[in-house]
Amino acid sequence: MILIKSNADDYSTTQVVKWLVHFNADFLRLNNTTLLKDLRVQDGIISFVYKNKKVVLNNVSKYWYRRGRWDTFSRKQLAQIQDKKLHRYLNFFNKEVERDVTSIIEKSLAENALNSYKTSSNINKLDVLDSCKTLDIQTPETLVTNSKAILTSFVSKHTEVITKAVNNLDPYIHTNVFADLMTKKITTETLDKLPDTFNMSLFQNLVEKQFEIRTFFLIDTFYSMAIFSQNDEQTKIDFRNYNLKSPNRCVPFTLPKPLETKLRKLLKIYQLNSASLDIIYTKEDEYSFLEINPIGQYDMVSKPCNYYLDAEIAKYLTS
Amino acid sequence: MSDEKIIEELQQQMNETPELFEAVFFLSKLQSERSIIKEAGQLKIVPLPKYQTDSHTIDSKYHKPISRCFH
Repeated sequence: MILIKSNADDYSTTQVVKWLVHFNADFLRLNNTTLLKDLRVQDGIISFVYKNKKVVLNNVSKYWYRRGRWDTFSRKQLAQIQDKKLHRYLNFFNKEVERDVTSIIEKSLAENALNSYKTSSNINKLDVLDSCKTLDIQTPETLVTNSKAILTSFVSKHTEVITKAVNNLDPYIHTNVFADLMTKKITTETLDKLPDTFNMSLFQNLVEKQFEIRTFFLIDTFYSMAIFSQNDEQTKIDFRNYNLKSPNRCVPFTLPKPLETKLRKLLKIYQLNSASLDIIYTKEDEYSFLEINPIGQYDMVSKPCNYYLDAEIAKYLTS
Repeated sequence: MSDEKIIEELQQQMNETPELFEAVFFLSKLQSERSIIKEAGQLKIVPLPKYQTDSHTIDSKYHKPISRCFH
């Protein structure tokens, strides 16, 4: 049986599932809304009950961690606890237990896993940039600081700088209120918008690009796409500021083999056999690595380039 | 509480405790989901039909906001 861990609303999982149905594969998709009922971890055997059927993890042929948590406690019930102190206490300890149980579950599935919660859920961008140095992968010059004075000196040196979230900030702050937290450009003129001190933030020199590359790595293959986002003011800093009226041109692209070799080593460090990677092709004809996103959307690479990545994932899971 | 009121309070909080907010917050626009959908023009959030398989129902309701669909 193939086991998929995902979110109920993940489009790509549903597309892969359609291929699995086409291949007549035996699979189970667990969403983030699925509480593990009658979970049993004993003598190296892990099992739970799903829709009145016992699922034994030893019988899992392939495990695909796409998104979401292994829910071991009811967050709905927790949300109903009014006492703030008790809520904080139970929230903290339930999450600790959930993390440990998830770790044990995934350990039993590790040999046949396409990613895992442990490796995919919390990639440290700063650590990845650090690893790039040791692997001789070029990256933009990076500064992490909480001081406007230090940032000002960095901006003076590079003229144009960008900032983006250190970790993965959720754009939803409160109920329906949203902050557009995508990559932002900073120049000496826009520095005034920042207070003298702020939370630790990530800054990089703005790399002039010929085009951007989004590549999806699956097992051992890089599926890359060049995105010509540079000539559109709306998309030049972050192509995710989609211009829906005049979309960026996107074409299949092949990375140079030496860079692929280095990127494979990078992914190996973080135990990832599936991930999306963002790269810039600079005006100096160089490749500048930006970041890894293990759970990023790959459909935006798959469709324009006819890579049929959903089918490729399904083929791997049934192999 | 209205979205406008929440935004106002958030901005006040950012002024009072800037140390709690990353730099990207100060360069971003705080807005309500309603206004984002309005600005997106032809894009609408469309719930997909529920999808049945032999083994179980797959809930593919696609309700996440537009901003997250492509990331």
